[in-house]
Amino acid sequence: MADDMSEYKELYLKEAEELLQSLNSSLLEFEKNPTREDLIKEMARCAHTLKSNSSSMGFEKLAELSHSMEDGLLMLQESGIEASDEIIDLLFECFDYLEVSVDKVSTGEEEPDNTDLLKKLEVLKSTDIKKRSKEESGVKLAERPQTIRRLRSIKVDIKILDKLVDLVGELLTATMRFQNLNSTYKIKEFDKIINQLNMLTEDIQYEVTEARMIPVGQVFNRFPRMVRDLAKRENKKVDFTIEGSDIQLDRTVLDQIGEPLIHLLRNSIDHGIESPEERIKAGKPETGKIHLRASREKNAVIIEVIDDGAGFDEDKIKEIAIKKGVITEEEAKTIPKKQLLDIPFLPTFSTSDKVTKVSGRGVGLDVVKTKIDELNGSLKMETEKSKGTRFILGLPHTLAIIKCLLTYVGEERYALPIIDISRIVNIEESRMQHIEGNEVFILDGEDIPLIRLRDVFNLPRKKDRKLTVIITERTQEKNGIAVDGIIGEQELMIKSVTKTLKKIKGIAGATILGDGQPAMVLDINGLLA
Amino acid sequence: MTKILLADDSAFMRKILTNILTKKGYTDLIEAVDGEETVAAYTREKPDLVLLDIVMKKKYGTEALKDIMQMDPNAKIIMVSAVGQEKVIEEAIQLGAKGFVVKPFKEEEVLSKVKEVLG
Repeated sequence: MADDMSEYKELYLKEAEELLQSLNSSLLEFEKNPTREDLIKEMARCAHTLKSNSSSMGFEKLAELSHSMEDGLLMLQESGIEASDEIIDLLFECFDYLEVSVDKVSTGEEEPDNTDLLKKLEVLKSTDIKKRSKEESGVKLAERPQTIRRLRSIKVDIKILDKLVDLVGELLTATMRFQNLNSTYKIKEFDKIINQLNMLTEDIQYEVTEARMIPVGQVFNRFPRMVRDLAKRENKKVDFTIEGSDIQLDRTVLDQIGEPLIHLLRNSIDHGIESPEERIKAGKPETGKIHLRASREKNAVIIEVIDDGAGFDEDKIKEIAIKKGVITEEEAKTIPKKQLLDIPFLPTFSTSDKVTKVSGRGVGLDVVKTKIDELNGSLKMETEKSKGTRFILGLPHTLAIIKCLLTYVGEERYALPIIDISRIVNIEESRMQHIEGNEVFILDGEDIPLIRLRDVFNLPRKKDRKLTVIITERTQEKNGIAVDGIIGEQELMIKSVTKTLKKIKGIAGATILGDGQPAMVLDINGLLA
Repeated sequence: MTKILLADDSAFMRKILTNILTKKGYTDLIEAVDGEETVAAYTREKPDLVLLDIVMKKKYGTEALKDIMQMDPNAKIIMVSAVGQEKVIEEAIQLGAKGFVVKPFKEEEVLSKVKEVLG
């Protein structure tokens, strides 16, 4: 798509559909009355408008074909002859192409190849249209397309899907409350119905969630062109590859990852990949590689941007971090690599000295981080000087209803997204150690930092001998979260919270539990920050 | 305030033009969707400027151009069309159009032409 035209896409599609409809009905009518000039004129107008709108949107193949079709129609009009079956067939073929192409671009896919069809149109136009009769067919035509197609999919406004999710959430809550009530009243006859309700709700939830899923390819496939253009502007050679385009994500999530991904790709082109000369000097192939990969992992979708560029220079990060007062010189000597690599995600940080048109002055990575945090996702970076950089994005594959582990601390209940949880363990207080002011325990040979929710919420610590600890894991980073106890797993509908509550770190949202009482949903990233 | 008539059969095009113009403070805009409506709107509203598409329903933009020029020889009309052949452009200028912008256009092309014609 052409730059900055995305805001017009919806209108473009709506109008394209109207134009195709008019084109189709005129064409069907024209087949019966192959001399009616008014129909030719109307078809030419449709093709013309579709051409000019498509070229404005940057849909070149669509524009090319509708242009050629319009020319053909105008020639036909001028010649004043009765259109042969061959011509009408070709017009239908053009219509089919246009319909399929509009459908493709509506979902962000590539326009199909139009070379064969263009050739046919050219052949037809270059021969004297008057001389063409039904017998002398110089062009092999495709089978007559079916003009009535069975509808296998329909378009639904995303707002309706959002509303459906809301309703399913309410249904979940109502079902849970019913179940809770009956655990008090214990009416046997209700048990079966409650079971059935539970199953139905689960089914509906599954279907509604599925209906919102869209392949990431829809966002990915605008990148090859963008990478090409940016690389060219920076005088760099880049071989850009994509993997996992068919992985699906919730529409809401997908809508919001485009910008962060653009930032990461820009970062790779601008700061990662070196100039061809530098690469050759470093003994690398002159063309750099950027790989964009999506994959599924339990309940999350992982998106990686991998380049074989210069990588981040750890010493340089330290130097700038000290200069900007993020860490002291003393801290710089002992800071673990993992923590060091989080620094570039802080606001106004940039290791590149030059300011470029592409990624500007270090505004970028922090924006990406903020956006991904908002989505309750995670962002990590792995980098090695002169070998390359890998950004790893972890995203929940849906936002609205998520499976949570319900826990309690004092009198309050807190939900933790299951996506982040790897296991639950009981650990003796005596196993806690203190390293650099942090509480840590060793589990299966690994040091795991501990966060006590009682501390977080300013409650006095309990004097139990054993702690219930939830082990969370995100992009290979483990943490322990101590709670008073576990209630169980539940599907919960997350409601967003007011700004005041949002300011409290570690709260992702709120939910209504089966007994009608609210509970906070914890944002594990926020708690750790 | 400068009143501009946008005559184009495509809502998509009218929207793009509207956005380009309103950003620069031209907010008094009226629309027409075919040639006949264009002539009627011109008669009724007497706009300061017309951005006129060529391929439209009922009456082509070139026909509408003729009608308007006959009515008001001082009319300021810019043709905005994907029909970009020299022949058509020449014809439009001969008929009295003050400018010609070929689709797909860049924002600046439209704006500079509008400024130039409004003087």
